[in-house]
Amino acid sequence: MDAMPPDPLLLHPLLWRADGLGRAPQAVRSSGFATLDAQLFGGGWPCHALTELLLPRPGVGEIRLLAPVLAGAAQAAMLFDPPALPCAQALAQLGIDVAGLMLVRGPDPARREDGPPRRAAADALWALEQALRSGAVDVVLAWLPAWVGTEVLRRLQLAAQAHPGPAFLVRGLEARQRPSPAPLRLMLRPGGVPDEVSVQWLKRRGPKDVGPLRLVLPPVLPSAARSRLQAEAGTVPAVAPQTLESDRARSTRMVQA
Amino acid sequence: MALHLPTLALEAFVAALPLQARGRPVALLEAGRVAAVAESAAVLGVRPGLARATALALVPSLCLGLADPVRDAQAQRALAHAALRFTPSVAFAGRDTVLLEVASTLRLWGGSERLLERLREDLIPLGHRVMIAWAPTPLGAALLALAGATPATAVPGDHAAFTLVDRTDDLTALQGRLDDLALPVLCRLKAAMDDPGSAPRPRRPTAGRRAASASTGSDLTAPLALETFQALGLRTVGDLRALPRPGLARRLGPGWLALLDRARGLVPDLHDPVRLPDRFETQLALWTRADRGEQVWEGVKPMLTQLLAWARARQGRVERLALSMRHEPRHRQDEDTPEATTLVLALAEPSDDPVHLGRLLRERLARQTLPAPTLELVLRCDSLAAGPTPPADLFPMAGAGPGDLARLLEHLQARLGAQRVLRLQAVADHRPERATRVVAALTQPAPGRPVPLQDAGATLTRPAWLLPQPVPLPPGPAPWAADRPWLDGRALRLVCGPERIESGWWDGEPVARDYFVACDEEGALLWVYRHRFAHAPQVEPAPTWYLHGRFG
Repeated sequence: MDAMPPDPLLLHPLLWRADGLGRAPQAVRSSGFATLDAQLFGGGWPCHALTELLLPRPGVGEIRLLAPVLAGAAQAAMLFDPPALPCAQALAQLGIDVAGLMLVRGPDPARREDGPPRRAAADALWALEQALRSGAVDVVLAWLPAWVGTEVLRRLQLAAQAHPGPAFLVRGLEARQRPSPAPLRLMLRPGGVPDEVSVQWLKRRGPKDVGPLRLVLPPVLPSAARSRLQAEAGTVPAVAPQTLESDRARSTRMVQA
Repeated sequence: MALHLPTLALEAFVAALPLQARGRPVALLEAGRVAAVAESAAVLGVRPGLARATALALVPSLCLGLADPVRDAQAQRALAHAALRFTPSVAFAGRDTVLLEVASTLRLWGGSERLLERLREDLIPLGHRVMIAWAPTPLGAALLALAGATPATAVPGDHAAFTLVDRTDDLTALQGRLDDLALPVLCRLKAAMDDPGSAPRPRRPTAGRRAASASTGSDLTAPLALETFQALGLRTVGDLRALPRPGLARRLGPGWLALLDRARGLVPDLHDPVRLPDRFETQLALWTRADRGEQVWEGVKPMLTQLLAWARARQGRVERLALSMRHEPRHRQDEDTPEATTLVLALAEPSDDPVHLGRLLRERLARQTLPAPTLELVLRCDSLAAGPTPPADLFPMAGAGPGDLARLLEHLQARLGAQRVLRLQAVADHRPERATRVVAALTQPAPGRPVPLQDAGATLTRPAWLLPQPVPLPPGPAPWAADRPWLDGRALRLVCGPERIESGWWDGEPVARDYFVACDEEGALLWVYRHRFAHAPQVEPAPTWYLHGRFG
């Protein structure tokens, strides 16, 4: 009697079927969006690893997307080199503990005592590495300068292995073609209608050429204004595509088998 | 118990050397002659007593330092401070020996084996070669330790070593051991005890220290006594004791017999205990001139170890320390150059961890620019937090407690400066640019958690990203110039608003603005405003839209 070939998924935790999602070898943190969790391997943002978010510019909904994970941070959350000063009221409205939010400011050309901008930016990267390595911070959110190369990212990825929570790197769209050691890379764009963001997969453990995922963010506009705009634009409200749900169900079945 | 440091002076000198000079043979000069030789130099033929030129001719790469009694005293004091952790009664004997009374604390430390093991752990970081002898009387132990440290039995190599050379628990046995001791050892101890530079000494010893050694009364000085012993044909202490006491007392003076009696336990052996100063101060002269902060670091390391020995002996943790780097007068270019650059390190969380303190000091030194080269360092500390280190977790967790976060923030602040490691603070003000304030991250946060949006239908009213300055938007094409904001050549749609914010008339920065949420073509939301009195020509000739934030 022929022996059954072993299930490839049992060979190594990093193996996954090309038509399903990979399993997360380590802990994950729920993103707070059910449709997004269903698409993330392991069911949430990966801990002990870098997650790259590529944005065309600040202000496409990235803070509202990350607000649940920032609000659920067990210890301090830390922002590195944010593009502008975050507004405390907005963060508080999103449920984030403002007093527990640390901020490492990047280079400011107006301040002479910070030294040359390139050095100040390198200092901010050093601070990021120290924070990841120390394990004392829960959620890390860092805006990287455009010149950051693969060697820096690899270093950060190594440091992130000691980091207990998720670590997000925010970069520009020009980083899209460059290689990165981060196991998860997403591209965020405005969703076409207000209060929505479109998430496109650049790299993940699972199929990445599925269409972009539209997520409904915590709203800025009252529902009347939003539905009026949607009616004008002729779009339907974003819902979770059914096919992706079945993907998720199949992958869990395979893991159980 | 006696701790004898045979090469204390050399080690204290080497500790201040820069790294690249560490490997070179080392010798110390005193009054133009070589006084102490490290083994690396001794194998090349340099011996104590050589003239400076002769030594340099023998070994051209010899690194010659000046003997500095203050430096040696600081090193010995640090050792005594480290020993104070184990027993309250610690005394100096001479310039290179520390006496510990451990009989009363032996039970506390769980026996002599455990005590020696702990002592070893604490003394190794100081970097000295330590010879230990254990005996019922302090001077007896000192004699045995001195005897064990003769060059023939010394451990080879310049590295720190910790050797138990002799151990005698019984008084009779000790007396027998002392009888076998060679007389030069006794002379060395007597010379060390007579040296007024030892024992509770002033910080800077007075000049003419050597000349004052006659102050011990009518005793024969040690070199003369050694000659006398040789003339009498005496070799060991036992030979000396066999002679009649009254004659010896007449020949040598009463001090010699008293010393011997104290060592043998016939009369009580009392010493002045070392007292801990309330403030710590140590100084060090660098081997080479340091132009940059990083170069100072090598010299700071041994000082930091001494500081921590003091802090541990006082059972406290360092809260604040000050490192001042003195500039030589001839290197100060102008009147504005200060006499010293002082670097003050204030810790949010008191610490006695050498790694943490070292890391902070190092980062600060790397950032420090010196106005002039420095050669002399002074480390001071007068602020200790009482109480031992808070206990570590029984099972260390990966993500640790708030202490770890404070340490991380301190570390970041040491390199980046307090103005770049920040914490957000909400302020009750209607003006958006004033409603958020940044404070240094290590300040205590205001208590209370802000109340998040409660019901699902509520909307956000403030953008996550607030621009540092409102950006005036250029006017659009003529027909729509006034009623719609334009950004990057495209019209924005106003989808929500206005929200009028009118405040601040009392503090000189009044605002009167109508805020709108605008939507660009891709669906991203922006926060724009125009002045409420925009139509009034005295404010603006044409109404202007301002971009103030982006809903991230």
